[in-house]
Amino acid sequence: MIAKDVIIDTNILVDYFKLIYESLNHQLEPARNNQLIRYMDFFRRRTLYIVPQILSETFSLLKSYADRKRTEISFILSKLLDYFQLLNEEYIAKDNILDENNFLRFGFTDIALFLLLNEGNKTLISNDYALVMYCRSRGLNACLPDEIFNF
Amino acid sequence: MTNLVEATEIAKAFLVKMKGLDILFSGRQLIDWLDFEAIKDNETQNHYDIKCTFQENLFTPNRISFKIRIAKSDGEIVDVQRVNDS
Repeated sequence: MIAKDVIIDTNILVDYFKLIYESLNHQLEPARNNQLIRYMDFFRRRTLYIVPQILSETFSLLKSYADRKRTEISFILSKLLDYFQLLNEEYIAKDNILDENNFLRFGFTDIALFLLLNEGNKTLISNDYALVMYCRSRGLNACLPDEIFNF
Repeated sequence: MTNLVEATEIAKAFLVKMKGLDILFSGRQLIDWLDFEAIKDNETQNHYDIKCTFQENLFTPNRISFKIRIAKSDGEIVDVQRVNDS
């Protein structure tokens, strides 16, 4: 059961935002249309949460995407600005992350996601199989995107 | 004379314009992705009051509402109010 409040990992956010960008820029290929519809239909019924580390990683990946598209990153960000503002950001203190037992295994971003998930009443969506399995082993609600979207 | 269906369309078109919800995603206007609903809230001899409700944005299920008063005689929007549903 997917909660109304979902935490999304970097790759999911980047994928979704790329689809939004391509749609806004009239560049969306027909094959990707179905993907956008699935994402929009799913996420519009839910509240999206991220941690600050996700935004840093998202910027890096969008920068690489911009380079591949031979587009300025500023142009892409300007198209997505309104959507970034709609995300709910939750801050997890560095010291709390460092105190977590599996920090050395997972690192800052994944442990921040885990700790946010551990606060309760949310579902994590991530394509990081190890992270999802770890969260589940701790009794937390985590899903792989394939389990929801079936792209 | 403007009928109820036309008044509803006028109300929706106004909100699309006001909130910039005409962006197309996969061939659908954004307002249609936001579960737009419109009902007749009240009717007088001269006006329709249309209550419009839709999701605040793509990333939250929270809904916002507006009451739009439309003149029957010419379809002019006479009044717009944000409604607090909570």
